Amino acid sequence: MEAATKLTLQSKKTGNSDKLMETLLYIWAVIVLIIVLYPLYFIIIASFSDPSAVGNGQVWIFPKGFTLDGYKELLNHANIWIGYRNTIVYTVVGTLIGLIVNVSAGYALSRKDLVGRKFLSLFFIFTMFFNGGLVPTFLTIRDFHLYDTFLVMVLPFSVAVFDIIVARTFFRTGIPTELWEAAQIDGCGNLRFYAQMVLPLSKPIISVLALWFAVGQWNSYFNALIYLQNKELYPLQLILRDILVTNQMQTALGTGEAAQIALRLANLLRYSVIIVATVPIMCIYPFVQKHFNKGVMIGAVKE
Amino acid sequence: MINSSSSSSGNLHRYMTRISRNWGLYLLLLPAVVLLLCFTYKPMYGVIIAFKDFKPALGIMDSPWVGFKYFEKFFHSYQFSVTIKNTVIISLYSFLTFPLPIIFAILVNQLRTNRFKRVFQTVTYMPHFISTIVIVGLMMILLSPGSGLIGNIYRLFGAEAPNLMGSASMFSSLYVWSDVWQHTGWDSIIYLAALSSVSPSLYEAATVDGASRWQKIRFIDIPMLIPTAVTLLILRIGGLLGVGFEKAYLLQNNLNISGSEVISTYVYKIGLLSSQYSFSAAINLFNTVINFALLILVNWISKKYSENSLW
Amino acid sequence: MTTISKRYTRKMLSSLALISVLGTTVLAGCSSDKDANNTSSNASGKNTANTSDSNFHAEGMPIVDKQVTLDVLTIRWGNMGDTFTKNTWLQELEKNSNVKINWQVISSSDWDAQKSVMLASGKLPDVIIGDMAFGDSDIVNNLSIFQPLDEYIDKYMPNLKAAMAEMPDLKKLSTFPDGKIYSLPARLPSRPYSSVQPVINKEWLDKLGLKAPETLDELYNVLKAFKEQDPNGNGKADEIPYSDSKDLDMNLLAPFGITDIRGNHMVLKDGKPEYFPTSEAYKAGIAWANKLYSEGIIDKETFTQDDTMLTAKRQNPDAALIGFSYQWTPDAVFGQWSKQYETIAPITGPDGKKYQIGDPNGMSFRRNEVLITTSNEHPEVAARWADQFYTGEASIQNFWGAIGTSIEKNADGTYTLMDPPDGTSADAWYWDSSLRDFGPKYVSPEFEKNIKLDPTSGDGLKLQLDSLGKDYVTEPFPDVMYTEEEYAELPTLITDIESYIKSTRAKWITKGGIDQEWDSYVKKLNDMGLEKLIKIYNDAYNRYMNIQ
Repeated sequence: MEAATKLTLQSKKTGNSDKLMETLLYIWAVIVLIIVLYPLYFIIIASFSDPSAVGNGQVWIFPKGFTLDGYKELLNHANIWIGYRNTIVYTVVGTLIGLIVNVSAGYALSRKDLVGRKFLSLFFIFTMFFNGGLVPTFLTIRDFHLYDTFLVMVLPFSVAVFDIIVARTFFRTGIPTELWEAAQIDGCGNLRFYAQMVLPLSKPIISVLALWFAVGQWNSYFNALIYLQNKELYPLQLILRDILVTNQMQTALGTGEAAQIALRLANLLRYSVIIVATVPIMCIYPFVQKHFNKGVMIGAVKE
Repeated sequence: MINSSSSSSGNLHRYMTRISRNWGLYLLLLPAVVLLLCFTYKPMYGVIIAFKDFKPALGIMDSPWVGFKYFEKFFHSYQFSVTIKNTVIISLYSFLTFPLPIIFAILVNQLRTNRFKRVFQTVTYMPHFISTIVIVGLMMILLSPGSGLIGNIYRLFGAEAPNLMGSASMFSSLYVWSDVWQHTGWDSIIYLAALSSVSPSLYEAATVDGASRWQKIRFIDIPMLIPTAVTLLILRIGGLLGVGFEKAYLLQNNLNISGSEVISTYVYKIGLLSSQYSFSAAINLFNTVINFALLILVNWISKKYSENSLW
Repeated sequence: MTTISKRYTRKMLSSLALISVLGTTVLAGCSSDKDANNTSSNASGKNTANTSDSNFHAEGMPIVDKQVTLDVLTIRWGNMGDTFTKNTWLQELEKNSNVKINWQVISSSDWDAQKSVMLASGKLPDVIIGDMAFGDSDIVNNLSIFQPLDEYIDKYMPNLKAAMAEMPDLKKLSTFPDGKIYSLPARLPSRPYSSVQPVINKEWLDKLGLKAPETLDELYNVLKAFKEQDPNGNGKADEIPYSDSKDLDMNLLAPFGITDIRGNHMVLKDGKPEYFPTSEAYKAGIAWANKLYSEGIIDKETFTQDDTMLTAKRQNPDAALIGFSYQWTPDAVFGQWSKQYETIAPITGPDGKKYQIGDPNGMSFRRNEVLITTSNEHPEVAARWADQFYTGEASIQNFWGAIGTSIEKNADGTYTLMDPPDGTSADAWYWDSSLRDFGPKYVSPEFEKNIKLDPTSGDGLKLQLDSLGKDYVTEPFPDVMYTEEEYAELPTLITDIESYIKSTRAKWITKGGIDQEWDSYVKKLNDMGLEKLIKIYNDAYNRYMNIQ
């Protein structure tokens, strides 16, 4: 009887502190939501507003000088659609290659019985710090005949050591050695174990890595800048960069009307470009999200 | 068939057995290793640009050798102490915000899974996608004492807003906190993924034991996050002297320059007049050597005191 | 034992196979980068043999009997693209000369990153058009990939040779520190003598019953009236007499004798080069600016706002906000309020004199407009091709557009500009139809007399406004060249020194204190190597003045 009351009293205490926590939690969440949401909202309404009004701080809640010019101008550029097409292809292929290359490496490195583990880890980590630089890398790409090809965007730079290390940590804590030992007894080899046991259990980390690769590919422009010449292969971000003008251009072009027109366009397009360039990729997150909103590893190993 | 561990040939035999037994693992490593060898290690001879007087027309091999000339030039330059100081301050300041994505992930994980949680997650990771130019443009508009939000708020109280963008001492705060705003949501994703690996039965067991929410966080969530957190921490320290160029350059102006000139912006400016391949290569090499040394140090510390290390 | 060793050997063999696959893949990509540089030295070896090629004609058209293709690179602003290649004059030239041009057009925003890669890869085009591609320092530091042109000018370029004889400055401009010419210059048509001129809001002057200011004191009074008397009539004290972005435009200090058209802080005072940031004139100018700033005449956000916000103020949707600025033409930046603004004569300084920034020889000269690389197998063909641009009629067609598209040739021998098509502005139309500012051009002053421009807009308007300032244009520090050694020193010197000058300037204008801190400022500059910098400028100046 005493033990039961003690339990109920205790649970009532925790119940109260829990309720307090819950309220505080939701208050915090709402505040954060507002702080984050307002600037995002601002960008959306700014993309529909007269750039002079935006720059003068006249745009707060509603668009001012409502205009669709930013979007019209942007979507009229024939190249934009080529850019979209290319970027979608690069993103899908690049993500696939990225997963194949990096997740496997991450798993292999997570195994304590891998001979040469330390050496291999250093082999990878070293490349995070030391790099030959743009010119030698360019010459190497050219030597491999990858210059101005589709492959250059998805293959040579697909190793992401940072991602490998993070994946390795996940595998180390998430795949217990008992699992592998049990599989070995059943006559399962490394590759089969990896494909049939490890991967299905690692949906969270695979999703996160896929997200990172996809976003990285979607936003990339520098490699295209250096290694692509054929405009048919240009990704979206590179095309957008050419439209947006830099400050340098204005000071040097100085004064002609062309400069003013280009500047006005750049200011007008600045916000609509964000919307056009990022909304597609943002839509991926909800699909990825569901992979780490529930628990895994239930009953995988019989005690 | 039984291991004779006392003899060295026995050891070798054991290693060879393990290698041959795990050939599948080496196969898994193969793509990454080949790619790195071809595209990262092969061009690595380019590091010597820092020790040469590189002229593109001559090529790397035929450019004259100058040893540490450019390193000394950097150390003796007037801007050396300023840029190092600012870079370190911003890096350390930024480093202190490291726990924020972790706390964020823990809190988000506590939200009950419903529409609100999903909307919250989606909204908070969106800022990550906004380009730096727009972020800085936004900051300038919002922080303008004349027409910005901050100006209007101060005027409500009858005061004039200070010009934060013109203050050298505020620079690091503006830099770091705008980064926090922009990236915390996105950075928390990896921690959320780690938390999702906690089996619900653990939580159930804890509830039966009468644990409060806070206790659950302390004894289930946090230990789950530590391996990932430590790994990311070590990697973060390895990027210490690497304050990005674009944001600092856009936020810089002549009033805050004593607090906003960092190594990367300095390198950019000297390259504007005349391409300084070797000079910038030397400075970058100096950067990475320091970062690498830091990494080795922290990794060694971590190995001593915890299970987690990079190698 | 046997089963283990069998499996063992099999695994060893497969690992060996793995290693050899690895090895060969890596080696497959192993060709030395020496090849890259061999091509350029090989090509230069070939060049000297080519002049006796019978395909080539030293004069007249066509330039070659059998068609020759030249790879030509040009860098254009932002998104301007390659529409200019449809210019009918360019197409006629291709037909008549039998020299086919393979244009490679790169956007200026992409070029910086690609430049080093192009130089290092050894894969250079035959000809480079336009000064945005390679600047002085790029050329000076990589002389071996550019063809010295003196001989070619002498033998194959009669138009340019005559132009250089007529205007010796062209030769001075293009002579590199080793005495040779590696790039070709241009003289643009119908350019003014003045650069930016003072522009004031005339409507506000009229509203307040004031006349255009002529002296510094009058300027101060007018600006103060702008601030206090609500000339835009909207009941709000929102007028900003003067505003800028990131830094104060040094042209505001022109009345103090500071006219720095090169942007390198060097001016000519009494015919001698002077570094103005340590001069008494600068000190007086900054003190004056501080006075204006503290009274709210100069926008308090000048040093922290960017171009976007400045433009927003200049084009404020509700009412005009800006009173005074230095601009090329009054309609340059003010958007819908352009009609309110008017150019005025230069402001008289404290020494009673007027100073206008510009060039008494005309703002017309450019260099590095044509480069011929050593990987070009037909440099003499390229030279003859380029020479075709150096006539008056060719030059105007490469500045505004072809005759029949943008230019009309009249019966009396004069040229007038045609209206642009609906929906484009004139300037944008010219950029679309021609190389515009870039590429080889020569228009003699005689020829210029035949160009009749509409005085109410564009280039014609500027010539009108120019008359207000041209008598006061100061002789600028010449466009000198630096040697390789000087280019090694300049970047760090300039970065350190200019950074300090800009930050002290910002501090003194916003907070004052220039008198107290002047001496320590000069001392610190000397510690940073100012004397070395000034010596470099003087050396370059003397070299330039001594060119025959």
